[in-house]
Amino acid sequence: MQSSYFVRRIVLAFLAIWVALVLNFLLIHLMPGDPAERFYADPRVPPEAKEEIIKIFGLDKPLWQQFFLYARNVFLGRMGISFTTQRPVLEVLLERIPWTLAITFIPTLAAIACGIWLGLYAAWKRGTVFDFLLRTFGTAVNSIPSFWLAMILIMVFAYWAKIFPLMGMARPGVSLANAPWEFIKSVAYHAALPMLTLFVLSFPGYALVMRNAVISVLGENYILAAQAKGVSQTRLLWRHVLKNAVLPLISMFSLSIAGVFGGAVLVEQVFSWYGMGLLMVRASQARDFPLVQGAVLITILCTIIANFVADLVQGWVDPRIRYG
Amino acid sequence: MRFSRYLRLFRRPLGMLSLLFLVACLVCAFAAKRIAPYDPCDPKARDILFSAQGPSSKHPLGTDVFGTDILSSLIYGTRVALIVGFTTGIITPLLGAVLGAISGFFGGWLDRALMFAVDVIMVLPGLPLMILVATYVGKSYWIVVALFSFLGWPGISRMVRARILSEKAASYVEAACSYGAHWFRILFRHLLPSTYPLLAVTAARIASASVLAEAGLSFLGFGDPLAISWGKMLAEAQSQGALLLGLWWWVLFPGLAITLLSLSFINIGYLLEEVFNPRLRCGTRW
Repeated sequence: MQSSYFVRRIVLAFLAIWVALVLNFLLIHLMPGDPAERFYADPRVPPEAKEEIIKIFGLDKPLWQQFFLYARNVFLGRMGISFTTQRPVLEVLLERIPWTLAITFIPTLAAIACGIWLGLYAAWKRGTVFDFLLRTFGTAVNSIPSFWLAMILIMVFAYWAKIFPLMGMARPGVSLANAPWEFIKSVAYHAALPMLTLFVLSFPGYALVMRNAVISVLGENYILAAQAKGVSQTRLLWRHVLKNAVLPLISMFSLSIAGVFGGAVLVEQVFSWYGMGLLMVRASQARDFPLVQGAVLITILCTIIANFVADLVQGWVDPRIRYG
Repeated sequence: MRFSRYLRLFRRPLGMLSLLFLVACLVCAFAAKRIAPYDPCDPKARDILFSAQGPSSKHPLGTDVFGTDILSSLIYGTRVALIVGFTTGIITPLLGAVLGAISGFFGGWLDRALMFAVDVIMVLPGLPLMILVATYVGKSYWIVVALFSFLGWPGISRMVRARILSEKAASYVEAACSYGAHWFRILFRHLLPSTYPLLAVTAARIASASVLAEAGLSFLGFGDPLAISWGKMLAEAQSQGALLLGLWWWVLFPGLAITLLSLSFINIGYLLEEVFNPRLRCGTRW
């Protein structure tokens, strides 16, 4: 009954996407205020665009027809016109997504790599000071607000030590067009503290999960058998322990991809890092409804898809799940 | 009430410290007007001459750029944090436990429908949804409570349902059925209490996370504009240039308060688990 696992996951993801669309649509229409405001009734929208929007979204048609038109438009990428920039919402979103990925991708990879090593070491040296420190730090880090950690790091590294810049994404005046190499260097320099913040917040989670997984794997019979066979310490760790202990981490990683889209909002706000998260906040404050809806919808859709991929990957890597 | 059984808890220093901290916060929340040395909402109480000064004898935790005493703001800020923490920590597990228990106990289409809802809701991301709702509805910390409950009950539900399913086959349930106990009694008097230890820990963890979520939402500017919140203090610190001017006390203390309250909730959760789960208490005969 292997295929049923994958089929169930696909059906679930498909239904979840529809629920997200319905939810978004209902929020537009049920929330206090005039739904027309959400699409076009804003002084910033040029009058020609109004007619077009009414036609595309079918705002003069009955509600249920509007929903299907809305769903169709979302899949075609037409999410309306942003009030603040008078550009299509999708265009604005696609501009911002790479910036968010720029500060979330590397820290996640680094956190996993670090987490694997630290967790392995802590499990091997279970009960020592190192293990205790890791566990304490791991529990504490869950309670530290991400934006507070970011501000503390800015205080320490940007204000006192003056190593890194306070905020922003690149030095003003430098852009990809006029000085590409300088631009890349400047972006990397500005991304250091945001990436450090995200790294510090995520690696304890991986380390703790790895530690627990290794401890439970070490108790398995096949490890005892390998030791009885005379397998060397290193080979034992690498070949037998690591491969089996890493399984929960793979699912954690896949889930963290899902969290990437919504998670960096607070850190982006602190560093004025203009990615998807900060876009959502600023659009919300400017009452730019189409942009906020579009951004949140894309985030939800990406989260659903990422979760689905996570389930698939876990099913592929760990055959026990497929039969369970 | 046999209090001797709870004396063992005093052997848990971390738990006791956390309980102490929570009680201190509660006292601050209720008696804020009497404890706080200055009134943070009163513009006349602002010490302009002393503004942006570090910790001193007059202002133990320093002042911000407006001259507001930070200690007083922290004391008044306990109100919002505790309201959000307690209401979310009570409503979400309640909702999740009842729905999970019904789902696990009755099974059938109800179970399938609820578990489908669980699978779908668990996938939705929290902060973006909160921003979206805040855009439509307005700024309030009740958004955190409502959304946390909406997004949090599935996790608990799944846990409770699993426990109920495994306990349903136990012999004491069979015995209860045989003497004609009503399903209500079996469910709420016998099955649900077996979930209390896990529920207590989860409730504490949710309270802890909701404090952080409220701080985050206030930091972004979506919290109640009239209430004092630790997250709002950090937002003001950032926008008023505490990082540029090096006013570390404005950044350190509100964040420390959030972290400590959050940690306290989690440790109290572990303490509660010991209270509810007799097998964890050392020395009892099981």
